[in-house]
Amino acid sequence: MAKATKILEPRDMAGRPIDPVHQEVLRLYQKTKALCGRDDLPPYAARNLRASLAALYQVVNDAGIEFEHLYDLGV
Amino acid sequence: MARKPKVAPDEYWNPRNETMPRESLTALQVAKMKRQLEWAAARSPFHKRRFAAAKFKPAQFKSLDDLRRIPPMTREEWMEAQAKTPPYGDLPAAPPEVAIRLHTTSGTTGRMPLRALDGTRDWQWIAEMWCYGFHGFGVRPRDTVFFAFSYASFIGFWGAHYACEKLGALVIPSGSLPTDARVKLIVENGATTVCATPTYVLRLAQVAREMGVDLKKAGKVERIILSGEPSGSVPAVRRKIEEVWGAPCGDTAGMTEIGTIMVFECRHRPGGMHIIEDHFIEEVVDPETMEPVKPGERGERVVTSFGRGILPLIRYRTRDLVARVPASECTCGRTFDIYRGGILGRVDDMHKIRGTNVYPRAVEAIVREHALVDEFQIVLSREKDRDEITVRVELQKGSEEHWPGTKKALDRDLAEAHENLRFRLELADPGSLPRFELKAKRLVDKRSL
Repeated sequence: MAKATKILEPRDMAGRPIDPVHQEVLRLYQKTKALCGRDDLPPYAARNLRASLAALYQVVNDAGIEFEHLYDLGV
Repeated sequence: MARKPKVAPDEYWNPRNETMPRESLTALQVAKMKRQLEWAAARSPFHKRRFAAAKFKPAQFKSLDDLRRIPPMTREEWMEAQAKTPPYGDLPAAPPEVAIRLHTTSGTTGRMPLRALDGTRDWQWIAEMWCYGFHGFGVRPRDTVFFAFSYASFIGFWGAHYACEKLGALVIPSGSLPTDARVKLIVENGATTVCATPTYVLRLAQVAREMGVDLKKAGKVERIILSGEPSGSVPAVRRKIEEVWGAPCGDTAGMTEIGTIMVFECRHRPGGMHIIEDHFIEEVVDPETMEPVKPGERGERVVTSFGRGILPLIRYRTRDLVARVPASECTCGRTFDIYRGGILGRVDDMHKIRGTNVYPRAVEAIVREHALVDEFQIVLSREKDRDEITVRVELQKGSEEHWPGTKKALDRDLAEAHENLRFRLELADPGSLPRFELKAKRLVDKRSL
């Protein structure tokens, strides 16, 4: 008999489940954060992505999913 | 029996957190606090030094009961650090190059201004906190919000302005315009929300009256949002504002040290302000012993902010006096506790006059009960080794003939509220007392001159 794989439900910092919409926002946040870490972006992309990351951070922070500082990325 | 909340479908800015069960809220605060402590210990020499002196390690923090292990920080320590290594001291946990803005405090104590640096993420957060408050008091994208604010080094309503843009409202900034021009802007553009200090909101109404403008008829103002002075929660001041504007007012309170507001009054107006508890830990302690006071008891606010990271504010002693009561005192359904009566005063703004404690806020509450009073000033003096307190009163233009009656009533009300302490009362000429746009300074203590 095949072993059942238990997939852990993602939870926020308060231990609450993270719904699919917020999971999607989190992925977007992480993608944007990774982009901000690149050093080959032209100024218009580098600065606008940082502005976007600062805004996306408010969503994941307000939702209780993420709490961190982003100064090392210039945000 | 618990009161059932009557809430609108879009009542909350952040329904996920504003209505979360208290145990989840505590878990969130503990998780954030752990990270903030680690950040401060690793990056801020100021906190590293203080934690070491108190033999405190972030790993020791496991629950809110462990808060007392963390040494509280004071404004004096922050200022001392700034003075030792100007201009910013060693509190910053990130280099100034990451900041996009500098603001200074207009606080009520101390000689040197505090310098506050913020980055892009911080400014988004500063606006976010104001969004909790503005949305909570009913501001929506359809609104036109007027700011009577001069947009200078005082952080004041900067964040509120950005919040309203974020909310999608139409914002009218008024910069350094004179008061009559501001009245015109409010009326001609149909502002639905006016945002200013309580003192300045009254000043706007006074000038409107002098211009022959009846704000209740000519304007479209639906709400007044106050900040910057504790009198925004004083019932007599609020009644006066609501009477002249014909619109309800809601209070908010913040600090330059935090960069934004930490409490706001919701549209259910519970007689106090909700604490934004998913972004702050607010403790209320006995200022002498630092022990927590019981719910409803007056004590000093000690705040930890999860916003700013360049300047981590951890157990900061504010000197603000508050009385915290459970969220259930409001019908809005939020689970965020309330500061009943708002900011009740400052630990250090009590003045002893011939053995009687006098708080400027309490005097204002009495003076504002008298409808004909336009402006006032409290003067403390020492004459032949005896402390005197004088209240100088300016009446509405043309109503000077009512001074004898007003004086008699004020004399009685002030004495009754202050163990029969006799106040001197003086009638000031119309327009002779100072007017304020930002934090009003109505107390002049000549004893220390």
